[in-house]
Amino acid sequence: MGGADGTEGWKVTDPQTGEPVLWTRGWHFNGGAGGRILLPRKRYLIFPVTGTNFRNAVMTAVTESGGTPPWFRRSARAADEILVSPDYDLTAELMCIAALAAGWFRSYFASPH
Amino acid sequence: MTGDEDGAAVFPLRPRGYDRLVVRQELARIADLQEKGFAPSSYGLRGSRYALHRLLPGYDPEAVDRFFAELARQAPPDLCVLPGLPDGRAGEGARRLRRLAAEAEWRHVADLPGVRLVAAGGKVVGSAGEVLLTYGRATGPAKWADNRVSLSRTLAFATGAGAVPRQRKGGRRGRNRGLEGY
Repeated sequence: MGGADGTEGWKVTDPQTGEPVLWTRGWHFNGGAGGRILLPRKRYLIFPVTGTNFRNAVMTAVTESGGTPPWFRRSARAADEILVSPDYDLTAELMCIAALAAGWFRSYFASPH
Repeated sequence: MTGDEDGAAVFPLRPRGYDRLVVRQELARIADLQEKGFAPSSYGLRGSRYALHRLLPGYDPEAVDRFFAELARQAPPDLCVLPGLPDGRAGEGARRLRRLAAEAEWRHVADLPGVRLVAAGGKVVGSAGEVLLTYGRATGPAKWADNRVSLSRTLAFATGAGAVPRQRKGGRRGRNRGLEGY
């Protein structure tokens, strides 16, 4: 089973203050959903995936309190569709999360063989 | 625990011990998480298929296991413990039922309210085709504008000027939330 934790990842910073906005850690691979986004003040998102293949898969962003800001799925037009819940403002930070996590949605079904 | 402390840990070597690189990476991972206020769901390498090195001498597993146990005991109590790795493919049930359930969930997401975006080709695009965010490997020093978000190392993100669509107010929980509201 793939996916892993790790120390490698991206760090998004606020260019005006230099403060970290988020960090990515781990990755999704071969059926393992190890990609996470860490946020300041001990908040985080995990990205569980349901589905048996890429065409019926849904990846959900889940916060530490159980909220689900965006969902990801492959649309009928073969693009990564991201649905942002109306409960959340569509901020630059949330779009960064969506852009970074979209790569994990693609790699989840990648196989080493 | 700081990165220097974990890097200074010394373990005896023995045949078929833990792979030294794997141990160091795990210690670095724990230090990295603790620095950000988090703790792993479990400490140590027991059960890891990558842990044992069959050819070269590795770290004494007993000494390493004791060290990880001590790390867990000494971890600050106010750390946020991250959940273990979820595995969406390991669900119970027949494959056909799982496929049907997945397809129903896939269709259900299509019916949910919210703003629809598409991520492709280094862009996040809104439903009307407007580019909301671009990202890619920076080729030189980043030039930041007021509405830009920077990504350290070699990626840069930029939001489209004034292009962020507004969500409808008054969601199910009564008010919209940004990242601060998580």
